[in-house]
Amino acid sequence: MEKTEFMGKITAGVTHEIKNVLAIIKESAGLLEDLLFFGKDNAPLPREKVQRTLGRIAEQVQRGVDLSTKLNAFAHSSDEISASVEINQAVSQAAQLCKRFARLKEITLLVKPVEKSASVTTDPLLLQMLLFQCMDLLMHGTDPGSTIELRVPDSSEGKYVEITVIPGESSNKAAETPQLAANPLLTAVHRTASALEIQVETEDSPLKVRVCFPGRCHGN
Amino acid sequence: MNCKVLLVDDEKEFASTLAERLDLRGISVDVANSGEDALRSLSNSVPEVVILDLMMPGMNGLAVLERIKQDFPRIQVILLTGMGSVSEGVEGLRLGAFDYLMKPVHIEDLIARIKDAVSKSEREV
Repeated sequence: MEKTEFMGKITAGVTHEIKNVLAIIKESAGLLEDLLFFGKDNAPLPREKVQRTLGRIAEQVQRGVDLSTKLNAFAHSSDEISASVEINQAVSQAAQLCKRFARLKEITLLVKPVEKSASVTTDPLLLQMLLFQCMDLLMHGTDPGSTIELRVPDSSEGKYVEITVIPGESSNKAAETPQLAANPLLTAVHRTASALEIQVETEDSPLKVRVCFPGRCHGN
Repeated sequence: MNCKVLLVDDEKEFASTLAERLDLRGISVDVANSGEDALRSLSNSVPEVVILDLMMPGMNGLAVLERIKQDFPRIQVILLTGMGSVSEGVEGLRLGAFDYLMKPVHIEDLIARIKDAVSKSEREV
């Protein structure tokens, strides 16, 4: 995956969701118009329905603002080839951008942030791409209903991100655990990691990816 | 206009609001929020038209369309999606969808397409 392909994939996903938001606002405004048009002369408007619809519009406007803010922050990650990035923040942003892809696979993303994580100097966009590829790798073959947990350690503990699959209750426990080493997506993960001079380690039981930044990786 | 429609969309707020608007225009609407729910709903009650989102968690719209055309060939399916790319729409038409509309859609345009789909369904009886 190249940077431009990655940006296209993320932009397509977020703008698709923005179109859904606009569609809800449009239908809600249309419903208010309908209530005026179909209501009998001088009959009071159904207050509860009007309030509910206005509340829905306000909620969706906020959802649209949040999506646009996310997309804007993502677009700005390409401003500099090298910048200081707080690991916590990078992971939260990547998880937000990946949320929709996870939802389509019925997988929940759970970020476990810490109060103060370490910072690294890196290519912010390429780091987003690496984190996205790691989540994509783990989602591949993971049962619906599972959770992918992203853990960032405290700055004193080390400079890494641990991404682990927690199988859901309905996961097929008898099925063979997918082997990450056999997954072709892993090659792309290693290619991106190598460009960033970052090391990626994998485990199969539980399915786990550890992104190790230069410096202390294992907290020792 | 009297007809029965099944509206399938995982955006619950969108589906419920559009259903209310269609209902005000005399169209009876059942709502399903996933492809699996839609197929379950069809085993209980068969509408003339299905309005179907393409991108949904679990079973996607094209897979649902294939099942509908296989098990209920007389039902007309209108694809309604927020996707900017038309390739899935073209694939949907190839699989037997009646039409392909982009979100957000004007309610009058949607109703016109529902009417056309009902006429086609009646002609095929």
